[in-house]
Amino acid sequence: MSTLAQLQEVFRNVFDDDSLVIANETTAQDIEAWDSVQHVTLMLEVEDAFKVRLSTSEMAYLKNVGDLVELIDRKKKK
Amino acid sequence: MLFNSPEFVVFFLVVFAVYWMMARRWRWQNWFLLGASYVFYGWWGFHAPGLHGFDRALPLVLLITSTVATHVCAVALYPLPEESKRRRVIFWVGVAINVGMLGYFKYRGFFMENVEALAAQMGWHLTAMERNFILPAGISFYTFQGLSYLIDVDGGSQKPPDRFWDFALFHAYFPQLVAGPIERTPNLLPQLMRQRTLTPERFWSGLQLVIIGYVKKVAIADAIAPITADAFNPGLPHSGVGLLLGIYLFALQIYGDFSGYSDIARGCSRLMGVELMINFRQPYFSRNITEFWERWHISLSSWLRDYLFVPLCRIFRGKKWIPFNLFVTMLVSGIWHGASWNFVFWGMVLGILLVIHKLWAGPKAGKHPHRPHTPRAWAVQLAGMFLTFHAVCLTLVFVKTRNLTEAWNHVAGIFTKGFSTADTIPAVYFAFYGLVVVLLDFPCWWNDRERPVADDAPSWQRGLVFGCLLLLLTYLGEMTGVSFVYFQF
Repeated sequence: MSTLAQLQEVFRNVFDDDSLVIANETTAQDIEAWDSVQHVTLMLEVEDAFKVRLSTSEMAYLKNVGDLVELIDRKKKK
Repeated sequence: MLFNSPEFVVFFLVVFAVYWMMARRWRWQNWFLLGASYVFYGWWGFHAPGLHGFDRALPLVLLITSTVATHVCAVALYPLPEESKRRRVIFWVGVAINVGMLGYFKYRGFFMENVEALAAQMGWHLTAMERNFILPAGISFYTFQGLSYLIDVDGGSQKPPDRFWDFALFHAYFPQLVAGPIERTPNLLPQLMRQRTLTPERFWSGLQLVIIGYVKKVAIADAIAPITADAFNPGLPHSGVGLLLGIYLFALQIYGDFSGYSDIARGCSRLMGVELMINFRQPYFSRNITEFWERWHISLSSWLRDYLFVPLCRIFRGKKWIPFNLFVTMLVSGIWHGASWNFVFWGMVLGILLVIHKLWAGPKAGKHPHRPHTPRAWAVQLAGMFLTFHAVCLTLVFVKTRNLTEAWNHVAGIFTKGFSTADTIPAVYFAFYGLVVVLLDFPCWWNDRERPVADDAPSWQRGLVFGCLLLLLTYLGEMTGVSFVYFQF
């Protein structure tokens, strides 16, 4: 399963919506409930799902889902 | 030195001119900026009434001590392996020095007052305690900035700069030193360690930000200040409507005051080729309290999210702990703002409001409407804005009153004291200044940009808007050096 597809499952779980579809271009502006609190929940779920550890600044400076996918892939390679 | 004082205008013009004379040597610029920042900050101590002898230099000494201690710890811990015990010890020593200084200089008065009160309850009388403390301006701001640097270095995402002076400038950079934005290392430090340029676009947009900031501070906040001071004076007679209008006006005042400061800071910094983070994004257009905190004092709320809420969420994991973690974060935010029970209570109320919103709104995804386009969306937007503004107003009562009894009497008075003909004056003020704030903020909110007019707008439009702003500043503003509300934090 690609990182994006796996990430979509995490998003669906966090935002409680089985029909949610994400793309590399998706940003917090596109999902109503994606506020700063939910962002933290999402990042911690991502850590659990991909078995990676994200630093504070890595969490804070993501622009869109594409950035997150790239970050996860980079972390997994290490 | 206050931004709205004639001294600052002269100071900035000199700094600006000398700074760009050294345009090709950024290291010289840094040395010069560091010296200028210490003059800017030291000025406050040497001109504050009631300070004598060493106390006058104390604020500057504290700033430099904090800078040296933070950098020494960062440099010492960086090369050590992550799991090293020595690294942990150095990190916590650095944190303890910063938090200890903040605690001692900001909270010891509050602590002693409560010890005294507790002792009195038990029948002991402790009266010999020192009462007058110096609260060094901006200590909460530069302490948080230093802590974020230390945490980022410890986390491995930031390498300490090779030269101490670069960090010292990051820690003391005068535009944002005393009231933010609380900058983060990945944004500010790299900008201070390279050549800066000033393009005509940057110059004009920086100047516009400075003008907008002065309008907000001098023509809005300072003009409203006497009315709110009366409305919150428990010795004066008030009607219920007068008390309510007093809170509304204070909401405009504190916004004008603080966001005006941030605009001037960002504008001045841009004029020196350094971009500071945005600190306010039209907070009174928020549809809920969570959104409000994403638009108000963004540099503090994101700091608290990243360095307190995230670690709390790691310790207390899972969705069920989110309300608790949120509440604790807002409580700390309250305590950060001021050393009094009012601020503790203020933080608690904010925490409760955020938790209520989180529980009510839930995590359900939906399409995020950028701007309302249908009558229904407008109704939701306006109702949300109305409720959020009133929730914020309720919390602001704790900021403006001196104790919890006054806060309670103020709110209770709204419902029991009717109205009077004297309410016309605050009503006219609220209508006028409310309109000015909406006119300034609506175009920014609608177009999601930092200034009311776009850079590519026809020159007559830009001229008209800034002509009006300069007129407002000339007719309504006085550069009297009225202190910024947020300095006390």
